Amino acid sequence: MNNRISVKELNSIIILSVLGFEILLLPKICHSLTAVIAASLMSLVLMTIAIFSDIDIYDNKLWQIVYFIKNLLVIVLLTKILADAVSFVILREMKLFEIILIITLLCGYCGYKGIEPIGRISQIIFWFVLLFTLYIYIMSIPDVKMDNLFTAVRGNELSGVIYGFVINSGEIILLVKNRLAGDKTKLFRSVFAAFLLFVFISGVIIGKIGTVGADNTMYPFFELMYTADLPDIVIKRQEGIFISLWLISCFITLFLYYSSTDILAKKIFHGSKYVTLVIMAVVFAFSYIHLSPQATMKNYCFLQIVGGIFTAFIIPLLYIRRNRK
Amino acid sequence: MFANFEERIKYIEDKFKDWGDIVKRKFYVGKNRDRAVYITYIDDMVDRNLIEEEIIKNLIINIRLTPPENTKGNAFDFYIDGGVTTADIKNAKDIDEAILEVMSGNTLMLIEGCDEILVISTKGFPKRGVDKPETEIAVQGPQEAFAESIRINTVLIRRRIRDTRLKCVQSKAGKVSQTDVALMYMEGIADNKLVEEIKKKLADIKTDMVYDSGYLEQLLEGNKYSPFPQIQLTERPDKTAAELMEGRIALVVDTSPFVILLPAVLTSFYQASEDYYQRWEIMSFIRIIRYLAGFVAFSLPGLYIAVSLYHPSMIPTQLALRLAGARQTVPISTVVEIIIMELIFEALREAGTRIPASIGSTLGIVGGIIIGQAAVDAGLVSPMAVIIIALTGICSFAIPNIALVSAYRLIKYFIIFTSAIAGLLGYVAGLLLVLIHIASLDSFGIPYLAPLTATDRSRRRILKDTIFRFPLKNKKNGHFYSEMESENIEQ
Repeated sequence: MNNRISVKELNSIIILSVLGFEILLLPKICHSLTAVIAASLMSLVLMTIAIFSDIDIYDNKLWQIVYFIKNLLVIVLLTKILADAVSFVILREMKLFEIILIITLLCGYCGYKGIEPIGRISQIIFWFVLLFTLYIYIMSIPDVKMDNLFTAVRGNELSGVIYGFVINSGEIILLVKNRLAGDKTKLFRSVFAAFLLFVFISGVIIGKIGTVGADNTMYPFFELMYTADLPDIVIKRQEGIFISLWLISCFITLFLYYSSTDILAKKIFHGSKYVTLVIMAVVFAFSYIHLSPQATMKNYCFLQIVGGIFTAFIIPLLYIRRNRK
Repeated sequence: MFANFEERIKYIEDKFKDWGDIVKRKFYVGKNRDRAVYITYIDDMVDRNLIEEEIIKNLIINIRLTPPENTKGNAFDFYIDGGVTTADIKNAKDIDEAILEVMSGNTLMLIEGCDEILVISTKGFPKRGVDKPETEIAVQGPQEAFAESIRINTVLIRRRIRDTRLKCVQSKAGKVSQTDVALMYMEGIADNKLVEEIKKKLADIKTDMVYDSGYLEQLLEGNKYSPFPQIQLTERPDKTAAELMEGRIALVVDTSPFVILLPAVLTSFYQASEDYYQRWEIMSFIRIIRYLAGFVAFSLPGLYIAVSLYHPSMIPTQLALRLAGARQTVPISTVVEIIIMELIFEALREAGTRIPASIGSTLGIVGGIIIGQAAVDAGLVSPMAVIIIALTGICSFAIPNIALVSAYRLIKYFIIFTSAIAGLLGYVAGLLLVLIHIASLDSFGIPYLAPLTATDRSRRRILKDTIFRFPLKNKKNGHFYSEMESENIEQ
């Protein structure tokens, strides 16, 4: 184990993050197709900056602490978002703390194992998840109403640009680029694919259920999955497969944040053995704080926007200032 | 150590005190019968005919008939050249080494007045001949399997690779058992660093006994707490030869009919030698079936529990109603039902391996069909549970490697446990935990999931012989393991 990750593996992780948390959030928060396109373009810019910038969040004590706290909050909120979604879709009778506990235990262990196995499993499951998810969206294209799309092509591009910060693909690149083995310019494949996926998926969701429908539905992705007219040539009820694959995509993003937070914590606390357990305990305790699913999503978006602006503008400025000195 | 001839004999006889099966003889040679020779060996571990015809007869009769002109001047060379007419003869470093050789089936010879201690290769212990493979059966292709003799096994490999680059380095493992181990590799194809690493690991083995290659397998594995095999065992010489050509290293252990192949990756356990003896289309199809069967073997009971307990809405309505109806009379929960059925199947499987072959089929009929049907009729278990267990069992037999099947058998219970706790979430969590565990394993520096992941450069070519088996003319003479090793070092 050399704790390195290949370009192919990182490409897989970026796309899987789109197919996990992003498709859960983006169609819900962007209220128009133009906003989706603006958000996707913004994320494209952010990912490009992340690829070419010299920022290394692991090499400075201050950034280590800032990113440790930020990552911890991201994990807490993503765990809560995932637990809410799981509870809503498949485990309504299970207590939320039990779901959070299972997610925390799994992610803590996988994060502790390091970036290398996470990259490997991402590369292996990548095509299964991508093809099955695309299958749902492609089969939903006949249900897309042009009225919905044209209604959606209106307004609020600025908010779309801001929501570009919610897409965490750029941050993922930033978190693992110091352990990347290979030519980083090859990451553009996934960056561009992620952009196309955002636009396509959000376009299908908004086109099918409309902006109002997306607004009123808690999880537009699941709505689309349940209402898609899928041919039952293989099995009649296929949602179990899609939910499983969606869950895996979400877990991959969480594993990555855990792994990164684990490294930061070990750097800050001088390699203490118990940091993983402490992180898991903190995440479990804070994820269980009573917040409605909507409020959790809002808080997550706020955190990512603030964190994204900080990363995209403030850190480079501070670096430039330091270099001038 | 003992310059005196008699002292040496006394030392040897003290060591072999109370050995009822030791044969020792002191006799005199030379024209005037003026020089004593002492030989010793273990009865029936040697080729007695060879000793009598090529050593004793020559020394006692032939030399006396044509006596040497000067037996005093260069006696040792004389007796070796004229008295012992076998080729495999060596001079032991000390008397203890020579005693060790006697225990390996060789003959020790001392000549009065000479410092040297001769060890003559006379191995001839009883051994099983080359038989048919029992665990890696192939419909088409060679029907030879390794035997318990290290020499038979190395010969079976050499017969298939007639190349001077095939090296065979012999050493011993086990402080007390002193088991012979032959390390075989293709020079220039296998990674030199890996060869050296394995030599070092073999030398570092501190255990007393190595009875079988299974012992060595467990001692050499990197992650000793993983149920997944990180070293492959095979009983097929053709497979061993093919793997040597891919850059792997073979360890042939005396007294074991299984040869160790290393490094080993997950996909190597899904490959059988027969894959290359039949048409590529059908074998590619069979390989895909094996992978699917492998997945079903460890995950189906967990999935059934998750769906039937937590998400019955995911089952088509008609089927769900039928399942519920069938389970009405079953007095135990689905989880307990599946676990009990799995354990009964494990017991049947275990009994099947111990039971004499002549009544094995009876056990299958009584255990599998009659008891299964009676249990369903009595309402003790549901028909669906029987189908799930039977499918799991059948699928596990589709995997060509018994070590991987054993790992899946254990993993299956873990997935059952996680699914029983949290339905589909637990099922996915269980699968991911297993996957992360496999992804973090490596075998002598090569990622366990290679070439499915963790490699860029040679991946495309190697993948042609992983999940699919492309036509042989597309299979270039590449050496997967050596390429992976060098790539991994560079990363």
